[in-house]
Parts: sequence; structure tokens; C-alpha cells
Amino acid sequence: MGELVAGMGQTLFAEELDHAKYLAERAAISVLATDSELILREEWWKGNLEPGKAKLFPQQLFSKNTYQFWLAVPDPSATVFLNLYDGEGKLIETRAVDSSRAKNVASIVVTPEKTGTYYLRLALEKSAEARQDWALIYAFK
Amino acid sequence: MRRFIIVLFAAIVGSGSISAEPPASVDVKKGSPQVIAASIIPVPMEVFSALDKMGVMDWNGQLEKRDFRTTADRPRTALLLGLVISDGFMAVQAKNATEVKRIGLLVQKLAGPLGVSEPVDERIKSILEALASGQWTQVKQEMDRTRQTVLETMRKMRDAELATLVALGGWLGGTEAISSILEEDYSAEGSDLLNQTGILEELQMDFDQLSELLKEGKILKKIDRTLAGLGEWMEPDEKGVISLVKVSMIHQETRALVEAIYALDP
Repeated sequence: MGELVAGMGQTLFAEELDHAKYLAERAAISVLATDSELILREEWWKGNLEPGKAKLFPQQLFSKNTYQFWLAVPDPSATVFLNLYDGEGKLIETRAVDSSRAKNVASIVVTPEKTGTYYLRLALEKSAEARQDWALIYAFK
Repeated sequence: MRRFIIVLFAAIVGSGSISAEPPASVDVKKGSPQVIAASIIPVPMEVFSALDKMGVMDWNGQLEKRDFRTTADRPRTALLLGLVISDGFMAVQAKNATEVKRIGLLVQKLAGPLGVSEPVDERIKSILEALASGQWTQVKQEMDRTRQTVLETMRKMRDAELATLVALGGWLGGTEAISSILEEDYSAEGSDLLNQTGILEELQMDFDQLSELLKEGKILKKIDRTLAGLGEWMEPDEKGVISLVKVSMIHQETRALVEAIYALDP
């Protein structure tokens, strides 16, 4: 399954990865507390990113649903970016949510018009000091 | 020269370098930036939730209360567990507490032979508590937690192949239900929900990674054939619509597979 692991500790940096997940969940809690319809998926995903690089994460989305994604890395001085592209690779308009007020956590909301495979672009700013292990979670309603 | 610089800049941005502004497009086919090899199978309630927004659905009508006998065939048991969990999501969608309780017992019955009884019992207890207080969103959350607990426990027990089959069974049950509803009450808008070719490819990749020994089983061979055939029917037309004929074919194929898994001698 390459570098990506779905919610299971199989890499060398499990502690830091768990911390990234904790940061993502902490950001999600404030949103979940105010929206009782939103369901946070139990499964989560992790990997790592080089400074100045991006990766695409495929994701099936269903039209009519609203999704919110959270991407986090452990280093509070690092900045992460999260964007969504359709199956053809075209940028999709999403709403950025700054629920954690932290640069190392990014969150977007989208209600896709069509069902299909989309791609989340996970990126780490170039000036980040080191590779970062990331965690991705999402909720839907 | 200026044009060259602009083109060069666009190429750098598109290739995965970072600026605050995301590129307008990425090359998903060539993998620029790199596409992570991920296995992300949505839970049935995601698609059920989307379908619900199109009108009142008769989820109770989809709950067939199929009977089954457990055997020493662990791959079949794993597939059954996935199917039963999928029924659980449907019962939650129907807000049918009686069915949720009945399905909870079935999940426990199947968890035993797969060695995941203990964590599953804990989760079922949480489902029942949420049911008792009428918190349906919480019940949904607990149902997903149950599924995830099963998958994680199996992976920890080096039973990753069985976890793959649980996830596959769950997707299969959900897809059968959705295609059944759409076949009975077809709409072009609803048909869009069956555009799941990406998931299908992931499932096929996961399936291909199973051991050859496992894939020799009768049911597993049938799964292989069904997954290979479904791609054609899940492909939407240029307007993003999947025709009623295709929806019917998806239902026919998935139903036949579900029945084969439930049957002792498929």
C-alpha cells in the first residue's frame, strides 16, 4: 500500500503521527460540537510530506453530501495546505475553515455537485524545516 | 522569454511545488504531484446519506433479514460480517431500533469465529446505549466505530486479508441496496451515486493482493468476476448519468453475489 497507512501504526514515527491525528481531531471537535449532523469517520490516514512538495490523495465523494476534511502535521511552525481537485484534475471551489487557528492544521468544506473520485492535494510549505508526518480525517453529513 | 518564464512557473507549480495559491489543475493521470496509493472505501452510510437527501427512502423495505449459518470458512464469515454491518447502517438509516439490535447480535455471532469478539462486544454495548437514549447520530458514529474496530483488530492480528473482505462485503451490501432502490425508483440524479469506478478499481487492487490460496475459493472467484464486470455498468455517460439498464445490471450482479455469500453452497 505504499507509504500510506489507513489508521494503523506501521511506520517508524507512530508517536508523531498520533500527535498529528490528535491535532486534526482537536480541530474537528469544535466543529462537531456545533453540528450534530456531522459524522466523523473513524478511519484516518497518514503519511509524510517533504517541504515544498505536494501529494494527491484520492477520495470518493457523493453528491448531495457535505464533507469536511482536516489535515494536520505535528510541527506548529509548519504550514500545510489542503485543496480539492475533481477526477480530471481541475481545482474545485471549497470553503477553507480556520477552526484551530494553527498553520499546521488545514481544513476545507465541500458539497460536491457530482459523485466520483476526487483528489485532495496535501502540501507542506517550502520553508518548513523538515519532513512532516501528516494525518488526514474527514466528516460528512 | 517572458512566455518561457510563465510556462516554467506553471510547470513548477503543477509539478507539486508549493505556493499559497493552489494550481488551477493537476495531472492526476500522470501523477503530478504524486498520487498516493490509498485504499479508501467509504462506509455505506455515506452513500445512504446522499440518497436520503433526494427524498424519503424506504430503508426498512431494503432490510431483508436473510438467514445464514456460520461455518469454518473464515473468508466467507468475513464477507458476511461486512454484509451484516452494511445492513446495520441501513437499519440506522431507517431508524429501526429493533433491527439495529437484531443486527448487533448477528455482528457478535460473526465476530466470534473471526477472533474479534471482545472489542466488538464493547462497541455493540455502546450502540445499545446510544439507541436507548435515541441519539441516532451517535448510533451512526458507533456503527462506524464498530466497523473500524473490526478492521483494526484484524490487521493487528495479521488478518489483513480478512479485513479486506469485511470492507468489500460492506461496500457490496451498500451497493446492492442503493442499486435496488434506484432500480425501483429511478432518477438520473440518483444514478450518479453509482459512479463508483474509482472505488471499484481500489477494491480490485485490494482483491488482487489477496493470496492465491484464498482466491481459489468458489465465492472469491465469483467476487473476482463480479468486480471485473461492474466497471462497465458503473461508467456514467457524458452527462454523468447511469442508465436504468445499467442500474439494473449493477443490482442483478451485486444481488447474485450477496446471495452466493449467504448461501452455504454458492
